[in-house]
Amino acid sequence: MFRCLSRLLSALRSPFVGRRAERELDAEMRGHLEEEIDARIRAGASPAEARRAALLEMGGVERSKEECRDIRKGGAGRFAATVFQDLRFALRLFRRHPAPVTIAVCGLALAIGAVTSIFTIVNATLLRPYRMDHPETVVKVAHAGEPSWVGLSYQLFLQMHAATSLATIEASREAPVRLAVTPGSNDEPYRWALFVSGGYLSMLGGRPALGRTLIPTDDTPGAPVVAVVSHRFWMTSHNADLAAIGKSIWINTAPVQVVGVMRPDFTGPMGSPPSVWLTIASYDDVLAGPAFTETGRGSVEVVGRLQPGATALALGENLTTVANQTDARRQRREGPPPSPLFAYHSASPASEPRAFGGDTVPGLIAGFGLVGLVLALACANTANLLMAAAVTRVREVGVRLAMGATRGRLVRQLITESVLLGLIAGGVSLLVTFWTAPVIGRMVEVSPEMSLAPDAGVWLFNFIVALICGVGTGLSPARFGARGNLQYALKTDAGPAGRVRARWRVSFIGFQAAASMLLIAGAGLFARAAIAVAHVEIGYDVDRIVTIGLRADGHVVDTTYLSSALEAVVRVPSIERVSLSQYEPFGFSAEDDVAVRNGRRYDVQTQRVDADYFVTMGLRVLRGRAFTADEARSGAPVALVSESMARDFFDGGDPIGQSTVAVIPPAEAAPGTSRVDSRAPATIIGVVGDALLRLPRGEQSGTIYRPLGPPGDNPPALIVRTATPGLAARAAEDALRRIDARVVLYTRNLRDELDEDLQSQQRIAWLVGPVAVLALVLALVGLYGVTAFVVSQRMKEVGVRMAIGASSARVLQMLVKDSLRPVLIGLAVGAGLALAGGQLLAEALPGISPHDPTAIGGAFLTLLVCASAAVIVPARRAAKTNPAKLLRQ
Amino acid sequence: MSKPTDLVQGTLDLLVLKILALEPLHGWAIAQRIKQMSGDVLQVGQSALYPALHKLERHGWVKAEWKTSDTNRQAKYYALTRAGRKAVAEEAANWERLSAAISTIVRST
Repeated sequence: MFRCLSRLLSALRSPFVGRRAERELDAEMRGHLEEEIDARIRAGASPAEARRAALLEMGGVERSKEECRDIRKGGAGRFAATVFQDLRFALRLFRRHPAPVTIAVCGLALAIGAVTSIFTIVNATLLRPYRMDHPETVVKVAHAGEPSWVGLSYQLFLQMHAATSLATIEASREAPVRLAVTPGSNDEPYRWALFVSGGYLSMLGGRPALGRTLIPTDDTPGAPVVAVVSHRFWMTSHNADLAAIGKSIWINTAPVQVVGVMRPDFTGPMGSPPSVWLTIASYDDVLAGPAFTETGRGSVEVVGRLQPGATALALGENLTTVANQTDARRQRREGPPPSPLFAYHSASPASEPRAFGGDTVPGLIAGFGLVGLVLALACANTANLLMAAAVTRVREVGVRLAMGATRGRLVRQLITESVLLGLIAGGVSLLVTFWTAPVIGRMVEVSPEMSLAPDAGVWLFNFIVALICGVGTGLSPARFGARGNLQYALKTDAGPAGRVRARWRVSFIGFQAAASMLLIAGAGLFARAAIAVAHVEIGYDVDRIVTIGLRADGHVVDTTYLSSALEAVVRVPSIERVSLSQYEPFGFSAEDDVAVRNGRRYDVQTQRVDADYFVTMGLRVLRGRAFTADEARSGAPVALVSESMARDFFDGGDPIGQSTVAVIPPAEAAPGTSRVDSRAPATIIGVVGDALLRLPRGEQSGTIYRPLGPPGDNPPALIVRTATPGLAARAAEDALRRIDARVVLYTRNLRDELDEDLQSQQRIAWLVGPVAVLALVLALVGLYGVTAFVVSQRMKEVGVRMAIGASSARVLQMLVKDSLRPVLIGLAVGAGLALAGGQLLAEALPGISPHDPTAIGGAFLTLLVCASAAVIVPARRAAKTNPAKLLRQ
Repeated sequence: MSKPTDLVQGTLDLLVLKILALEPLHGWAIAQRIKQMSGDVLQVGQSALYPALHKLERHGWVKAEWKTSDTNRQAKYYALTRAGRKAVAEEAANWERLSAAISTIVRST
């Protein structure tokens, strides 16, 4: 024990006492030599002779000194000391070559930062456990075979709540609401409200930071409507005012009393907490919508806490029995028996069965893939830089070997350098992460309630990625460096090693060219997409359109309601026209289809509109005619197509009179394809000007307009044309509320919606822009650097050739041919990969083809010019200089 | 010049310890003494000797001290410690056992 301690102490001291030990070691070795010389002089040799013989006999002193040092310091201490030494060497090297090191660090930092940002979001949305008491005993209940968000009927929940003893059962239902701290403001953004049963919060451990939470007596019919607001809402909207308790907030313009503020560390079994918690009993009052609790039609998410000893499996079986008993009466009259219930643990998003079905997740995974690729390229770029450095350092390696360094030590030195590079980049990347994580979060629409602050998991992830990058970039240069053998290193440029070098040389350039090509083609695609979006044609009077979405059960919004609504709205003075459309422009839902003609696929969106729609929107019917009122009402088999579809899909021919071709939905079973007859063939009766109804995806997309037909399960939206959107919207809402207050209205100003969508595109452009510029610089510097370096390696050869009579033109020709061949091969491979990979990016590239020739061709040419310059500039210089000078180098 | 591999593994330690058991010596002198006593058969170069000496020192079997040598130089003298003396006896016994075993095999064939 004591010995270990003293060893450790001496190890720690060693960098400081090292000097004395070193002096003693020197003195000892010198003493040995002098004794040896003395002995030889005593034996009769001349001093010079004696010295020579003694030195010869002693041999290399350095390596035995190194061995002595190793022994003296012991394993761990020696290791620590040499790590310090390696770090010192590495830093010295970085100081000596600031430019390439900065480039390598920047490239790595950007790539690591991007990966970390995406991980931050994945971590926050999927991996972080839900914040509530004892998440391990919390379960959710769902019908087997149905996604959990479909939920259970409220009636069934009430039965289960009373019947089961295996768990405490509570329920919740969320709804988007407008939340305001002052009355009368109606332009607040939508936030989530969670309506919960009385025991929900206390069961999960939702405790108040201020005031109280909701208790069972709040959740009784007739009780005053009270709310608990989230900590974040309280901080931002109430400005953390302690007097907020007891005051009112306005939910969809209905006043509600605030009784408490939730603690910031509670989310409940969901990724991000809602902005406000209310009771289920107040659902009807607050939303003024269709009766929910009365009829029990609405569905709720059922959450439970298992009693000690109970399992989720047993609970599921128990609840199925309960459900079958209560449903027994209904079953006789209505359809098949309900599917059995099952309960599953819900400790974190990733623990839930449908964790990977959300909308954000595929985007994140695609993002991970993309950024992973960039990371790999950045690593490759750095590795190439280090590799080039390793080749130039062959001499240094040789000297180190001669001075008694072991091969392992050399490898460690090289690895230390690249790991240090990786870790510095990792540190810098955290800055990148702080900046980009919230931006990416907004892009994938992570709830603002969700905290994206990096936690321990993110730090660890960042560190590991940085480490892997470091080791990864250092590995092949280190292997190359350590291979250097003494003779070769000290003689340089000679012998059979030449062929090995040539092979390295070619693969260097080829790889660098391919990587640069991919990087720049990708950056070019994003840049082109950003430009395309900025110049997109809208095609109608977006500033004058307001849409009013109607949310209610199908039986409320029927033909009668719609005709009275149209009448009431059009009577509002500031409103010019009003129409109906199944989908709102820039709305949440749409019908995406794929049209097929002569084996060619063409993306279309189907719009379902009434007869006046085109006039209301300000769209011109270019050929043929619009629907008649009768056709629109009955859903007749007629259709109009957009101008671009007539041009691209029907090849400029006249589509009128043709039947719409077979149209297939992208995924047959996708939810939302409610109407079975929706894709029945129809005769095309007209061509309409192009309209931007949402941001385009991919290059070609057209629109098919079909008659609206009778209202289905999802009510259509009102499209209102007015010169004064704000005023008109308010007046129209009032008029509609007078018809039926149960219908919830979602009013949107199209200009705002468009700007919001464009903004998210611009944010992508802002994000990609700097990265693209940096990628360009990195790639150009990398390719130029590697190519120029490789050419410079052949200077001696050029000298020899010219000395024996080659003309400078011939030499130039040879260098260009030899060097550009791998560049061309690399660029071609990179272009192929870019074409293949573009398909993956299609979703993220609005308005352009993923094979955009400008971006990919431009990247090819730029890089080719750059590589040619990198070959020609040094080659010409070499061809002009005196061969003797080259040979002396 | 003799390399450590020419000696049976570990024997150099025994030789050094044995020689130091007579009197404290510095490195060069130890090498000379081994050469003399083995009748010029065993020659130990510095590359084997000094690592061995430093190892023994680290084990605590020898201790080093700077003294003035016969030739009037400052030299590092190595001397046995008490643990070293015990080790000499053990190592010698080990060697006897080992060499006897080897001799038996060598003679039998």
